[in-house]
Amino acid sequence: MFFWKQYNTFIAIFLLLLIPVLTLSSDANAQGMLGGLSSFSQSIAATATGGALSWVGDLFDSSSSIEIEEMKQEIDALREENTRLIGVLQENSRLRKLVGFRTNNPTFSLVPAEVIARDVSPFFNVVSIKIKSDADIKPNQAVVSHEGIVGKIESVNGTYAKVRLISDHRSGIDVLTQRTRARAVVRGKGSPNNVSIKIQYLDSDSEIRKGDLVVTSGMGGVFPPNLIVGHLDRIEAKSNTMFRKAELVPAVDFGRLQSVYVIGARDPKKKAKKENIR
Amino acid sequence: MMMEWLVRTSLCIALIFSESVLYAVWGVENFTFQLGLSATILLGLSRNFTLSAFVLVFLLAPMEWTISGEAGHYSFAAVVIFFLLRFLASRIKVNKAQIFLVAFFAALLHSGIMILSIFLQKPASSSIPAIFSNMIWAAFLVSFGTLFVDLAFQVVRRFHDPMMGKKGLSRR
Repeated sequence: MFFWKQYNTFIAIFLLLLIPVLTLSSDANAQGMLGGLSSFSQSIAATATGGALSWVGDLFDSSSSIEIEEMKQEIDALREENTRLIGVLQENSRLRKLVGFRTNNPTFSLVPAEVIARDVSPFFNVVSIKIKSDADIKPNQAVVSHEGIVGKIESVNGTYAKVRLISDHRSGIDVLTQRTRARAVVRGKGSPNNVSIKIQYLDSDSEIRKGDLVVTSGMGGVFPPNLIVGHLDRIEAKSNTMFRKAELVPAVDFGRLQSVYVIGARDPKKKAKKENIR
Repeated sequence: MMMEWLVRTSLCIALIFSESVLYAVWGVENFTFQLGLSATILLGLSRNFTLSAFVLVFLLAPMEWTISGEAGHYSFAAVVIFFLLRFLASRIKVNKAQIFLVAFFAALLHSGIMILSIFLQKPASSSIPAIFSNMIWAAFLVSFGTLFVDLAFQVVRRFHDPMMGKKGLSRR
């Protein structure tokens, strides 16, 4: 007790300096004690976030149930039933689209996941997703939704993973315009209040126009080919420079992201079956 | 002190995780307040150093989890800001009206320290331009976040000391 009273300030300073140094010296792929410590603290944080999410869910549930009770006094039973059915239809539509994506891409091994948290800084566009404990998810695997490309896995911690969105400043994807097959690189702008993404290394002679659909080229091995990234928005006029600049509006509305798929390794049996059909 | 530490730490952790979860629920992308950094600024300005330092020790891991990018740099910059504000708070008395400005400059400095720290470790990291291009906007939002966290801290302080800010004799 005496020791604690005498040295508590020094212990606090020591811990304050130690924790960032430990975190700095260990990254997601670190091995040994530091990696274990980092992983342990992150799994605690992930569990806490999961708990907080369910608590927020309960909060909304309880507030909506109170709201329904109030509405019951004001509106008749038919209108209430109608409202509920519209909600079910919207949910059904969203799930159908997800199932449709799976049906259209049978060779992919798709792991479903739910978005549970978002990065709290404006510097990085990253979301956390909840995955099944037995799912074989690794960093750099592609993440998609029924609308198109979402991003790629940055790190995995047990049943949670962080996804770097394509709008993140650090993200870069090799793409093609679907109409003319003009090649370019899509890079996130990461700037606030701007939903567009910049396009780099687009050949200055390439024939492109506003609204052209942009798809993944499959180069680099992270994203499978022909997945929708978005459509061209602002295009710089042709000039004498080597490359043209353009902007792209992503197909995915990152603000409304709820359910996503992580693309795992291709299922060899399904791939062989598809090739036999051809 | 133990009880106050527990309440403050729980409040800050709840704020950090709630922020992250609510952004996911509401689909907020760039309008983010970084309440963890706001809490760090207020802890740096508070009078009780040991209490604030131990609260911050337990906030570093949640802060790291809710912020991506290069691991460790965010919390490292937060600790530096905490010590700098301690140095400032021991010399200048910061009133409530000045908190907004102090938070703005502290958040700017926090981004600057992050940039420097990342640059020293990975000079070619693309996180550097990402932080640089957003640092003023981030500092502006942190200032507002700090006012909100200060309000939450006041509620906690009143919980422990109901007579805070009141003259004892005037209640007679």
